Amino acid sequence: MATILVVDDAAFMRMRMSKILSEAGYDVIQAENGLDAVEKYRANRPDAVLMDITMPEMDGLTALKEIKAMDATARVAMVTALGQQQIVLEAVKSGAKDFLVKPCEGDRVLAAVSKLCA
Amino acid sequence: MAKGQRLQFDLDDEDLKLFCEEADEQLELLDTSLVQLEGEPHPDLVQQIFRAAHTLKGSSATIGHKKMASLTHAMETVLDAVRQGKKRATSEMIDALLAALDALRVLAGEVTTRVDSGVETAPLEADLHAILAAGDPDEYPSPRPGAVPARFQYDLPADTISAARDDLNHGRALLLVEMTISTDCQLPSIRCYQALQELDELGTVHASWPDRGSIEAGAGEFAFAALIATTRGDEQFAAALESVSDMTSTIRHLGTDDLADGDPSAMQVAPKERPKLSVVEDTAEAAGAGVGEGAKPGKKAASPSVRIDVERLDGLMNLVGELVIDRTRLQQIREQLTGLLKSANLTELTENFEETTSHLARVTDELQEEIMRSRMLPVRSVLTRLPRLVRDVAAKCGKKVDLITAGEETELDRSVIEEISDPLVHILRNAVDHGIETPEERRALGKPETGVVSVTAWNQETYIYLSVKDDGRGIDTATLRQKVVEKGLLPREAAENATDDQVLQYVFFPGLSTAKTLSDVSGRGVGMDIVRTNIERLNGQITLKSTRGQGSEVIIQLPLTLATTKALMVMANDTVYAIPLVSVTEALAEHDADIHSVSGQRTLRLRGRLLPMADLANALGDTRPRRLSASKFVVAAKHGERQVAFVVDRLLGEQDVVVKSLGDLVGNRRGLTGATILGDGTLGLIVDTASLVTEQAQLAATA
Amino acid sequence: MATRPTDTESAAGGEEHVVVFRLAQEYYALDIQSVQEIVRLQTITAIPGSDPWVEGITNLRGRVVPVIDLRRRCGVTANDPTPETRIVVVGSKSGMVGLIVDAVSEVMRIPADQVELPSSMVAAPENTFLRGIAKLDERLVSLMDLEGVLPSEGNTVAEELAAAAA
Repeated sequence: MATILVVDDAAFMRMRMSKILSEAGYDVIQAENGLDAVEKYRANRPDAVLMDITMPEMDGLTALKEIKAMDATARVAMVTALGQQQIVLEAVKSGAKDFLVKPCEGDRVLAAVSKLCA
Repeated sequence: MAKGQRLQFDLDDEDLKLFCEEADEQLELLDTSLVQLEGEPHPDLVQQIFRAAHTLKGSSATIGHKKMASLTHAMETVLDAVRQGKKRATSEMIDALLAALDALRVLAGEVTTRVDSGVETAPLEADLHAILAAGDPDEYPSPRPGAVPARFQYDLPADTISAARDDLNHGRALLLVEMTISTDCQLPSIRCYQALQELDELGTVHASWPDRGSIEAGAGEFAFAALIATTRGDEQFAAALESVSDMTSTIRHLGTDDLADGDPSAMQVAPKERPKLSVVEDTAEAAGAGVGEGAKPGKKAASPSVRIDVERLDGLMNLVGELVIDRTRLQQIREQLTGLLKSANLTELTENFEETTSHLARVTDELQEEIMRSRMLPVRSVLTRLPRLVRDVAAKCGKKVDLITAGEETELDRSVIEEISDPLVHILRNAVDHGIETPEERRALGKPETGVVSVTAWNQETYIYLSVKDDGRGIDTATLRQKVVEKGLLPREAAENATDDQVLQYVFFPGLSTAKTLSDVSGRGVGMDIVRTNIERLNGQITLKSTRGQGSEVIIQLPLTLATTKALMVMANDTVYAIPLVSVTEALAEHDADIHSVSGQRTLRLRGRLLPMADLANALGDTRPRRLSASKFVVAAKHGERQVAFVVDRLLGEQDVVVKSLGDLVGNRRGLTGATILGDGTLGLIVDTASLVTEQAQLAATA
Repeated sequence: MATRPTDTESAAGGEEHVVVFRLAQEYYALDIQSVQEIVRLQTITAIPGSDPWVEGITNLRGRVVPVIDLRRRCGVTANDPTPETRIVVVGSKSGMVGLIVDAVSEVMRIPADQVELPSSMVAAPENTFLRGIAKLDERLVSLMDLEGVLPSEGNTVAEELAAAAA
């Protein structure tokens, strides 16, 4: 089964996402900021990444760019709050495959992930 | 039908709301743009005005408002003549249209009141018809080619059409991909962009609706279409587009027949089930056919926004206010708990908790800002009414005036917008009526005959500024100075020593500005005290600059929102007070203050001025026993030209406070405007500096 | 105006559903419909220059609610707060109002036939806000008229009492 990297600085969000994904049979790795995400991506090469945008240390957009620089085939979906439209656009331009708007319903998360892994 | 009689219209309450909103929008648009019709109007403007009248006609006819439909029809007919170049918009025509517009507004109001207002439309219609019938119909040669068949179109420039034709000739397929984005997608423009990216990979995108620029600018639509030349098969397109979430698409192959020849160059595609896609309508017939068919001209596509009830926004605002308070409380609890938990060696729990609270804090801040922003409206809605006003006032007093507006995009809270309109109109009226000289006077002075009044809005920090500036006669400060003394507002000596700028501010004092003689000599007219009162009620400030012979400028400073206000928090006799920062001029420790006793009254010397001092708690009528405080602080607060120094026990720093009413039962207490919830959940009181400063300054003066 | 009409609507039901509370040693009751919640005594911010019966304002989950000391209003001794002291939050015509009481004792139904109209009682200032008195076992419970107990706008307590005594 595919491995998903869940990146979010909020522990609750990480937990929720991870639960949804692992219940559906995915292997989940967690990262709590952009820097952590880049390192974990390098170490584990997950099949897909769910990336929060606003985070300390390194934001999601920068992390996306670093990951894409490391692995051009990386499949990343941004997880966004409303009002970040310009950032999401920038992320899509930088190679993000998809986005999810918080609050994320389980069905949507799974649909997005299965699309990413397809 | 007689005045006062009950009227029946064919619409329910929900429709009524929509009808009124849309009618208001169209009336507003007419109000703004009819004035600009004179001279050589831009074809787009004429088209826009025509559509507004047309939309009003359609909707009033639909609900069975015969008078309104008939009047708008007359207007539409005249406007159509202008649009087709058969008539030139003369000032008589505009006057007749404006008169009709005024009646239209009353008629639109009838839909709500359901009572016949008794407005006579027949004479207005007769005027409009007379204008249409008069004069030489050939005075303006018709530049337009023959009418284009009534169809919906994806508009395409000629060079794109020829490029597409080339593609077909070279054996490439020309595809029109039409996509629908599911309505629960929250960022449709990003989906459009993703689709565009996918299509870019597969061929040459000749055009898209909305176009690339609009999509990147965030103009999100739930319908999206693109014209692509490609060598790839349909399956590849289907697969690529399927990778974009929330989207379904249909692909149509186009041939040379679909690319229309002739002028205006346009690719014409028969209307599909989604006319909402940025279709361009043309010709009167098309517009006529569109009504009732869901083909709302342009407007819907133009604003990618959702209407939200102000009440709902207010409710959200309140909730966020509470969230902000909870956040502060939670952070305080966190600090207390962290100590306890660390000692109990529950590191992981502590870290989780810290993380969660700091995240909550950040999200709350963002949420507050977003909601605040959603309440903001561009100041344009106020400024658009001004050209008509200036035109009317100038005509009435025989002046020639050009109005220049700038900063229409500046945003402020809708509650402030509602309140600012009247004062602004008042100031502008004064500027035209009393500020600008007559053309003869101006010529004699060597000024251009046409005076200039400019209204400018801009943001600076957390305030919005509105300036009304004229190049008129300015204010005679010598006369004003004399009036100030006569009215007993300043002793003669003080008045003579005061700077011109200081004297000018007395224009805002009651009694002075209303003096007719003053308005004659000064160039400033009536009721400036009322204007000031209104502005200060909004926690704003108003100032006046003027140079004799060169003109005057009134500057209004307003907070961005009324829901929150920046305040200096102080403690006085165990109660926390919030003093709005806009009125605070200085805060300092008592032992650093230059305090004197002037005829028994404690007085603060501050930057060359003597300020009466008052204990804040006493001034507000706090009669509870006083707690002794070793060190005290002094806060100087101003209202207009008056300043008072208030003594408090402690300064607690600056804070954004959410203003809450004290409630009906307590009412508006003297010296207080409301309460605010503090970080610890208790309440602080918001000081009404305007009334308190005035009262204390008067007390000190009579002592 | 020494009496107020009885609330016929609730009397018609055959019984009154009320919240009973204590002020000093006396028992009073308010129609349960008007009571929104009962909270422990919490921090109250005094408003300088307000009428003596206004204890101040308090924060009830983000709402600013004025608090009235019902004991002062009813002319009973205002004791120091005890762990039993409560704020009864009621919805009135002038919005939410908190009423300080010494204790909330119970919620009960009082049969209408046990309620005596205040007309038969001695004319006392506080009767302006009594709808009736119920005799229950050994206790007397005064039924309070909510709008009567809240002074109308602009009137001070002194003015109201003077008017009632006249």
